[in-house]
Amino acid sequence: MDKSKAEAIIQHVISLSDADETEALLSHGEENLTRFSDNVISQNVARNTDSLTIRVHLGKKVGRATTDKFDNDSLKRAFNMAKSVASQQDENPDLLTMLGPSEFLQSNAYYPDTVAFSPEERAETIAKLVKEAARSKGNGAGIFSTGCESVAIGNSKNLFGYFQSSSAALSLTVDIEGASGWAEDTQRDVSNIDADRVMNTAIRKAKDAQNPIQIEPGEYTVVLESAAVSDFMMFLAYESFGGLNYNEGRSFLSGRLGEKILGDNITICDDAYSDLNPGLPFDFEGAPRQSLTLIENGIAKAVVHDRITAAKANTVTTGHSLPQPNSSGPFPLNLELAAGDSNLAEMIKSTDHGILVTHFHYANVLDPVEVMLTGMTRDGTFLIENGKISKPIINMRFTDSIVKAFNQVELISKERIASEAFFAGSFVVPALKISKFNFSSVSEF
Amino acid sequence: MKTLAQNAIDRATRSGVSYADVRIVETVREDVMVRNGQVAAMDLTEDIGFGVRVIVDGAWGFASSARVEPDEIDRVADLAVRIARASASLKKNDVQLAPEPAHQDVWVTPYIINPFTVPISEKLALLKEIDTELHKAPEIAVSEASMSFKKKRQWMATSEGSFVDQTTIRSGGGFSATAVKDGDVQVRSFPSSFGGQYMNCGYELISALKLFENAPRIREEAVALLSADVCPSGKKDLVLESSQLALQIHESVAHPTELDRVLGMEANFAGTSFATLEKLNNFQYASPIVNLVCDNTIPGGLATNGYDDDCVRSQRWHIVREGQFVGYQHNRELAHVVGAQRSVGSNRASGWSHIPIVRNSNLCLMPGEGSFDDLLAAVDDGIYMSTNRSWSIDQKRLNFQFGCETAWEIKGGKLGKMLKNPNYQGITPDFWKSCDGIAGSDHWVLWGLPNCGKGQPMQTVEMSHGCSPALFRKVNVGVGN
Repeated sequence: MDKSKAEAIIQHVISLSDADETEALLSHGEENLTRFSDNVISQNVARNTDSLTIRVHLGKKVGRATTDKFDNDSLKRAFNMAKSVASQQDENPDLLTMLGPSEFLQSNAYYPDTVAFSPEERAETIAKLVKEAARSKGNGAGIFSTGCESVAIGNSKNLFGYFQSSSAALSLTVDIEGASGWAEDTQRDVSNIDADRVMNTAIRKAKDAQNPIQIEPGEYTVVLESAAVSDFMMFLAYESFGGLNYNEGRSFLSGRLGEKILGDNITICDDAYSDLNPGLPFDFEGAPRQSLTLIENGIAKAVVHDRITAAKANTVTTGHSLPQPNSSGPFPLNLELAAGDSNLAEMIKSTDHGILVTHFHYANVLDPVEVMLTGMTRDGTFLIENGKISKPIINMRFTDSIVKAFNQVELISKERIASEAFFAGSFVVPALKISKFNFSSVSEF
Repeated sequence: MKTLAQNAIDRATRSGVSYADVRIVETVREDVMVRNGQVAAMDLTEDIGFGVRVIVDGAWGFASSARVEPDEIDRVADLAVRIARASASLKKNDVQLAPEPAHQDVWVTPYIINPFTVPISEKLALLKEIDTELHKAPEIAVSEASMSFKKKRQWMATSEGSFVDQTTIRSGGGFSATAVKDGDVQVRSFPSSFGGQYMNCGYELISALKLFENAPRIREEAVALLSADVCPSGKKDLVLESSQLALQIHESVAHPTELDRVLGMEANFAGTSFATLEKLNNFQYASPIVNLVCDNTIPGGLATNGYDDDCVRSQRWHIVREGQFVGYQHNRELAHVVGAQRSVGSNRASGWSHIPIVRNSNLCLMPGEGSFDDLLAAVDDGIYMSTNRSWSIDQKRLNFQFGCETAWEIKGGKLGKMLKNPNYQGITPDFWKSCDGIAGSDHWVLWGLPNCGKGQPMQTVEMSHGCSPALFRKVNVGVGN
């Protein structure tokens, strides 16, 4: 949905309103995805979704309603639903008035050729991947997706913001005789997808993973490829860097801004204007999104805020609000872990006895304050001995604190990529070498 | 809607498809939450759209749109055909659909009180009462009380002559209290975590849950956890409360017996399964007292409906009988792989914009005999764990680790002191083979899970798992404590 159409819909909503304040949050998504397994296309879909959420203020009362229809009758109906909800509520003396207009920086995140990429083009790339997988006596499974998303926000105080982005993802798992390898590439511009790298990496890892040995659980030096690090960042985003968790004493940063909490070599930012992972320049109440250093050389510098959590912390919003009202508080959508000066080869070479992890499966939180996580390795886990990858190993479960682990980072790669976590979110992350990382049990494959 | 649906079928049929179906889906939701005395969510959501699925040259294509209009239906049907032709360029075998009679039917979830007729003000009043009660201890930093209601109406037509008008109504509610002190964060929820209990029924669920009546106990348990001992580490006999056991069933039996996973169709994301084809009817999954049955006809189940999204009539069948692995969950496309003459009806999509895939049914552990106290009496030195706090399992569904909100030690057959940060870990068949007691039907609860994610693009669908508390011998507990 282009800017002029989005603006027209939002203005129409505002023109319908007799509420004290009115906000419209509009999103449109197109997702085209080809899925394959056993070296054939198994699912192939095109999705086209819309959503418009109207928020109204009646004095100190607030109501919200959402529709996916933009005709006059549907918009009127949604507006009246929001008004009805507001009228049934008690007054909230702390309700904040809506924001006025701001200037928003624009990142280049939209590539029309990515949106126009066809099912035939996706099939052609996949055919190449699975042909090579089959030549290696492997089964290829994965996805090739392209699409776009538009987000617009406007309100009755003349605020308007619009952001459009495209995305492309190629992900491949190759299974050879029950041992698997994996690789992925996510880009804003489909022409930057490196299908050959994905194909060669996944096949090589599957070949290298044959006949794994079992090793004992315990503490190991671990070399994490970028995709594994992205899972850590996702849980830090959820549990640690939000102003609500901070204010309520539920973050390891609570009451500790200015203190050194993580290792000297750990710097974490939230940056919506990064070249590697550009994102929304405004938050979901229309505040400009700030670039923010959260951890600098291990010292806690800041958490992200919306206007509500900022007021309670005696500060100002950083532009990280989710749609108001909400129960989650502000959220960092564009976390980055700063680069080091190492590389994966050096990390392996400098390790006498350790484990190389390609990525994790299904990590989850045991203790939110210490960010104690547990999760499984998958698709290529290897023993490192005397500076070399020596043998594939049976998948292992880790149970460890990320706060502890980020105090034991020995090396950080110079190269960083935008990598998706298992459940959700994209993070700019390097590879890491961490000492004394705890693996608590083993699986059977 | 029937005319629009038929238009889509006609349009696709004229393009030479061997099969086509269309689902027009209208969803209405109401989500209400009070958090720390403030309304944190008060959302009314209406959504309607359609998806067209076709088989052309032996391969699937699917396209969807939010614009339910004649010209858009033509465009989307044509796009689905084009996508199917692209799929056909990379196939080994033609899609084979197991036969199913054509159905003409109307189906509606039975309910007593339509939740959408209950005033929002009444719902907020109850949630605020609960919230106030939870905050009567200063250690409670966060209280959340919520309700969620969903009505989904689906008109589905197929090129084989089926037309089904199906309406499901789902209600849910619950609350949690989070106690914080000196960097320790402990949470208790009721009646279960992550939003509480969900059932396909009306607003009558809310009064049946007795939410307000349980708020003082939950508040006190959250506070007590702050000063409780940490769950010890080691091998212990373990009794699981039924909502935790429901999630155990979900992760370690329901998912591994989805046939699409077994065949590698989820290999790149959700994973595959250890329950491979040669194990069917030839593998001891659990101890002989364990019977696990899928039932998409059971009253109140979140997967309970008249028909799945293949337009197959809902059914009941065994996955595990007396400990032996005897069944999969599958659909019309995959039934032939296991020699089935008919799909068991486990194909469902998350709304109109997604293609149906094999999803968990209402998989339930059949009750045993005796009371909860009888289970405890069989334990000399063990742990009783309640209410899920976290879950993790490998991509073949073998190595799992669950964290719970709370636990109590069991000494000499009786509950003892409270324990915090409990968790347990195991390997799926070993764990289920250690099952040595299942409480009787008086303790059996059908728990709704409204947030199961699977597929690429990710689809979230709902299902239920019923069970009574059960006893497992010599389980690895307190990992990392």
